[in-house]
Amino acid sequence: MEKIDLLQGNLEMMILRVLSTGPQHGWSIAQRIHVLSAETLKIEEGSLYLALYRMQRKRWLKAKWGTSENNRRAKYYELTETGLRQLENQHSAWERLCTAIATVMHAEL
Amino acid sequence: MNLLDRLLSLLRSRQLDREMDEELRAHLNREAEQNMARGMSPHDARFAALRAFGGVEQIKERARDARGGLWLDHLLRDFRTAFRQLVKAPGFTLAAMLILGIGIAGNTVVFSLVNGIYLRPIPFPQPEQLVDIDITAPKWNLVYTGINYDAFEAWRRENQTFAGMAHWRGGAFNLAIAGRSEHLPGQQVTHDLAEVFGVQPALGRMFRADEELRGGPKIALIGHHLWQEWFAGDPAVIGKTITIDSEPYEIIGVLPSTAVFPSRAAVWLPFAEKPNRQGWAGNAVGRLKPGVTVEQASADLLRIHRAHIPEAKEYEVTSPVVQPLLWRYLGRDRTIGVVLQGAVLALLLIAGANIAGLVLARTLARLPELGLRAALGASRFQLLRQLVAESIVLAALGGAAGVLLGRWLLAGALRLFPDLPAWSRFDMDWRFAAFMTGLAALGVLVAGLIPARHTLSRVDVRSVIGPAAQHATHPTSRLSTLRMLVVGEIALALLLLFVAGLLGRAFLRVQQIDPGVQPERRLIYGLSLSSAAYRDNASRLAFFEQHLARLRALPDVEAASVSTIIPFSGTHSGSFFEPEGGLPGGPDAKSPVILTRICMPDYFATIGITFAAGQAFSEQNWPYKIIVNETLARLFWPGENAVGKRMRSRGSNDPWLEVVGVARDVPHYGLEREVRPGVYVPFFAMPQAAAGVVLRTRGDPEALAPTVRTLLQEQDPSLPLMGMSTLEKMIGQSLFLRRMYSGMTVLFALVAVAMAMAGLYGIVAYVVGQRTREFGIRLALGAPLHELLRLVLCEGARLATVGFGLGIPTGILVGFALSRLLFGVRPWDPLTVGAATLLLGLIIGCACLVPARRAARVNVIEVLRNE
Repeated sequence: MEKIDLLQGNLEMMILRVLSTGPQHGWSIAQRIHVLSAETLKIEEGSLYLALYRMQRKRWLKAKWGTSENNRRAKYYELTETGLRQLENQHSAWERLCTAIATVMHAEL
Repeated sequence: MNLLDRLLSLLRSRQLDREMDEELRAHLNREAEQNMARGMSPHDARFAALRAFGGVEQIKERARDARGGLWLDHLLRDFRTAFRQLVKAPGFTLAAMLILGIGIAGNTVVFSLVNGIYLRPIPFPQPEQLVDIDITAPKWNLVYTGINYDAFEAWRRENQTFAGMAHWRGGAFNLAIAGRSEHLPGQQVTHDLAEVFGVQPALGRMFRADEELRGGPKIALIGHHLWQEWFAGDPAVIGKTITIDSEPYEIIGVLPSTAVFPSRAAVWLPFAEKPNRQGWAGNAVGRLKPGVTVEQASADLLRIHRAHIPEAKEYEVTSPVVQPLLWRYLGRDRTIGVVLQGAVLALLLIAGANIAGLVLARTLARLPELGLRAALGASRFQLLRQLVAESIVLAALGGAAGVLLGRWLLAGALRLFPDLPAWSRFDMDWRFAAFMTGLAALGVLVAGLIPARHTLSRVDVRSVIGPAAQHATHPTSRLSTLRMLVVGEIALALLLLFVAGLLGRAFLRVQQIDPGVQPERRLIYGLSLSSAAYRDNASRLAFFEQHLARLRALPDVEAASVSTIIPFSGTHSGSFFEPEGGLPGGPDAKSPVILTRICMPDYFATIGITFAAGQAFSEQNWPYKIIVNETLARLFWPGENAVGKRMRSRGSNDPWLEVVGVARDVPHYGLEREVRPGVYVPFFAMPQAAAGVVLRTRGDPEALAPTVRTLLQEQDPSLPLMGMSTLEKMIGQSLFLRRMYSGMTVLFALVAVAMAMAGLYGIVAYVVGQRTREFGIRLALGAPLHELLRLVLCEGARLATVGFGLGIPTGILVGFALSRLLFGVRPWDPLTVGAATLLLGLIIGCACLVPARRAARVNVIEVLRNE
């Protein structure tokens, strides 16, 4: 599978989206994105965790330690109010961008 | 992420690291489990997971980076590394710590001493407004006469420039409460003294203006110290009674513990009864109105003074003098302070040069290591940061050593000081110590950067590591820096040694001055009879005669006598006399104040004063007789024999007193001080209440002290004994200051010489080390051994000569600047110059000897093999 370079902002947006359904830990976030993207996207763990820490510092997420499905300790991330607002803003911005680009690409030249 | 978060994350960094570790590991495990579920073997599963993950440590590193607070983390790590590096080179570290420590300690101690005396402002509100007021009378040969109360009152009433003025006279009183009695210093003060200083009594109240009048109430304020000791700090002390000179006084207040001026008075009394309101004694202090200058105040008081001349003729020859308070008490002569600070600064410079040399040499030795690290990827910034960290750690260690040493030295020095102004505090000045340490850090850093700058700017690895570098001699520029440092050290050390020599000789010269008395086996103490118990001349005379008789009965007492004023005791009492026929210079000549001592006939024999002409008065032949000293004889009757001449109190119609003897001069005020004209008046003529007793003992005078106390107790138990000492001790104490600064300078000089020698040894050894190869070749080519030795010694001699050339002329110049302290020793004194040069030359020779011997033992074969 060839690597598509993902922009940092896009990754963050997707993480926020995944977390909008509820608190999850790092591995399950990566799994979700992989699955939801029909296995197109496999997030590099390095980028994932760096993004998570970054967003935690920016207070878009808050973290808590808990027990995972298989009874192991895991760190759960949860959206904050700020994070939710970020998600909405970024999502709409992205939609507009996509529409604009699509228009350009499909336009009759 | 704000600063607070960064700091917090730094503090919790270990915990955060662990959490991150755990989280990433959990992820890895899940991945591995998933792989195994897909059928991989556990080993492969794990491996695949790891590979997919990327570098775990790198992720952690980047996460830590992003966390921030990183520079602090790195700096701490650098400090730890620096510390470890220094521990690995104990010789260098200890030497550097010692040198830095000595330099910093010396400077901090001297600075704290000078600061404590001179620089700290006196602890009163608005101290710049406080001025000392006194009266000067050049015609009486007195710089300060003391305050005349009537004049003072006139000034206080009529001035326009002062916000307040107060007057006090110091004295000592017999204080007693039930069960305790002591003779303690106290002051009689005008009511506004506390107000002028701006202090409040700690308890109770100050005197009122109406209480200052003659016949006023017997009230007193007690000192804080006395309150604690005698009354255990009881707040109900107000209203209690204390007996002062056998009379009851009511305590109306307690003085504050801080800001008590000028001396540690145990009691303040109102200016009512005791003092002689004519006459001149005591001091005055004033607070200027805001914006008024000292000159204006001076002119104001002079105006008032002149206006009162018609009532008091003496006002013609006296005039008020106003000056800032500190000037009066500390003198404007700062020479001693400057000498000490200069000496210790020279020491610091030498220490600095030594450190610079040490660090320079060490950094040169470490260049290969630095080059290697640069080649392996350390950035310039990282190398620089490490050097900075090392400098800071080294300076901190040196500073810590210096502070410890300094505290110890300061405590020791203070214990030697007998009599400090009460307001001065000598805490170690931390700001100064910190400043010095910072300076040291800077110095060390610069010394380290100079050789390392090439490595830092270019990463040319091969020039610093590898075989070529080991054989290259270092560029001459570095060597000449070292040479200059050592020459400077030698010059400074010589300068210091020279000055110390001069001061030492001056001290010896002062010590050899004839004290005019015989100091050995003399015991001295003072007695003060209370006016209540001994009301008239007869009773006082009887007391002293009995006391002396009992003393003479003791087997160890050879002679005993009494005089109101003992030499070297710091006391003085003056009056005015004139010879029959008037002063030689006519009525307008200076009529200096005459030191007047009232003594028993055998006083001279007891204390050891000899006569230049005539003899002492005797028990039978004393009425209207007087004895003068040589200075007075020369003043009143120049060129003639004073015996048989007559004199009397100036301006009086008392009967003439006949001079029966001319006593040899005694330097009463100190061995270095000027001798005043003085007289001795028979005790029988005017028996005093306060006098000093002198005993000539058979053996050790101090051994007699307990016996004397018992004797006094038996005679009059209420009388305390004051200031018991031996004459030798008193003379020694009068020399204290000179001994102190001469001794300190000598100490600094010796340490400086030791350090300079260490520096010289270092560089000569270094040069020899550099030229080992050359020596080996020379030896192989047949050069005689002494040729090599000559080369080494030449190196040392060359440096020494330049150092001498700089040091000696500077030393002579400094000697001129200090001539005031030198007491007649000439600045170019050849003995001192010669001795200092010789001594230094000798030590330099020794310092060069070791490297010379090492040069001689160069293993020729080794050297040739390494070629």
